Amino acid sequence: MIAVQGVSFTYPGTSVPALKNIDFTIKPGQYLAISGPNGSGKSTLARLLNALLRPNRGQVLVDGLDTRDEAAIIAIRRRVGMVFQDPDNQLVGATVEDDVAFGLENLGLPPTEIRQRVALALETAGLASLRGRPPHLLSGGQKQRVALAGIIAMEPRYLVLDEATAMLDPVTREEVLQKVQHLRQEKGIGVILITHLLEEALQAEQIMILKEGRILFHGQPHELIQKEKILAELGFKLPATLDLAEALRQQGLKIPVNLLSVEELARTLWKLSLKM
Amino acid sequence: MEIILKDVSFAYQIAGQQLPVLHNIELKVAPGDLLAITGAGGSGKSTLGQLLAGLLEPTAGKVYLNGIPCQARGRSKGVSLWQRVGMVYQQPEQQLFAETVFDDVAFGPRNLGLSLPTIKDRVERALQAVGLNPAEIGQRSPFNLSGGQQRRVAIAGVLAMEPEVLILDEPTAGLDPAGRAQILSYIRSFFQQRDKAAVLISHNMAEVAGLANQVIVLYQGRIALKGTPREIFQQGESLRAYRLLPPELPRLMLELRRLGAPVSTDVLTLAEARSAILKWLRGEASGF
Repeated sequence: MIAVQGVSFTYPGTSVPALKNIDFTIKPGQYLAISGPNGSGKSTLARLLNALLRPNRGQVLVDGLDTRDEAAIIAIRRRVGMVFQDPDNQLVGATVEDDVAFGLENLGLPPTEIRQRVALALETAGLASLRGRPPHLLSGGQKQRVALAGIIAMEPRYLVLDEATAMLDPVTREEVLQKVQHLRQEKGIGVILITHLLEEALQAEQIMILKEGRILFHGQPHELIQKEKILAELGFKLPATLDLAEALRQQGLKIPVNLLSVEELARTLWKLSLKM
Repeated sequence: MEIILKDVSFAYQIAGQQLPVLHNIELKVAPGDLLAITGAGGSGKSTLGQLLAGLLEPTAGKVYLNGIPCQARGRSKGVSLWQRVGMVYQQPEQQLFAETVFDDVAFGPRNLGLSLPTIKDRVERALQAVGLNPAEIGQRSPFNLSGGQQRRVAIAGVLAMEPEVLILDEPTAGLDPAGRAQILSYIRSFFQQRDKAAVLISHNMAEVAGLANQVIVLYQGRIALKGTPREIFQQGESLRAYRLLPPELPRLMLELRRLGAPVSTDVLTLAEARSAILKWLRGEASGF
């Protein structure tokens, strides 16, 4: 379990805290989405989870290891894998395959195991056909997938994706997120997805919204979509399906409020038509 | 300014080998166009944007500016027509470098050798065009701004060159909803000026549907589809073959069709979707 307890953080040389009094936990196998405006503290929070930053107040415990404990940092970083939005700063290898293997070679694993893990990670990220390509000749989205594969190969217990799907085309994003779901279910990896896309956040089990360094909302997706004030404050537009469902309710159609996907709304409307 | 690509192909060279990216592209961008280039990751969108901006030289084929065949930037002497084409790269804020916002935006105009009052005027208008107040923000360091503000400063730097064609590569990726809406509204107001054109590289289908008047879908380096947003999104699930999804409302109508509902699939807006669904449901109900 990652336990974030009463955490505040202020960047050196600034007076306004980037995060104030943050409390939450995430267990292996759980799926948490974090959203909020640019500058609300999302990336700062991500960096606190694997000891890239350490709290000024409160503590972050990763499976009981305190991120303030220098001696625990290597163990913490092996448990908490991070993928960032900007892939150019994360790629080091001469080819896609080398890049994905880089972290594993540093773990001192036997070559056969490295090969297996690299092959699996490349497959998960849909990169098998690009294995020999130099990273600088990849598109933005392909680079993001290389960074993701490099982390998946490390088999972390918790995976933090900080806007790591922002450059992916819609179908690739869907596929990558599905594969992350499989990893979560099969291997019990805890997933923290930081995203600006409401429709992406709504797929998680839990959503946390940050604003100005504080938790503005923490609950389930169907609770969030009814908090009109919070959504308006954040400039979040409900997915078009939810807006349409509301417009149809106003016309007197009986449509439940907890429908989140296109498919659910289509099925509901179809059933309604059969009763008419 | 009109840009025409005629039978353009492009390949990168790696270790003596060719890595083909684009094949036989025929494309025209003219004033009044807001062209969206969309397609899967690695389909050649950014490369095509750089060819349209004169930043890469085609391996084969020709690029015409106002009917004149032109080599890429920096390959010919004298005042280049390419000055009238501006390019905003992916994550352009990473290229901010100056000590103040003013200096950053002024960098391009200074290189044109303009007078100081002209430079100042251009910088102020460019910042205002992206919703930033020059008096408030001009002397601040660009590095202490929010991500959305940094991106707007970077776009202002391109606008200060007063391009006639503005090419933007994923201009809203990574921004929060408010920042995204702002950038889109600035693109719209740029393009609504006389004689301007814009090219938007994006895989956000809702953005493409709401902004563009022409769309091309690239797939494996070729133009697979070309048309208005309406024409493209009516393709429905077949877009998936090009790794795209239509926006939610067209997808809903297609899903209803698949279930057997006789609804129109020519739907892009909420009002259109609502009336198509009510017509279907009430039409059946009136049979009682």
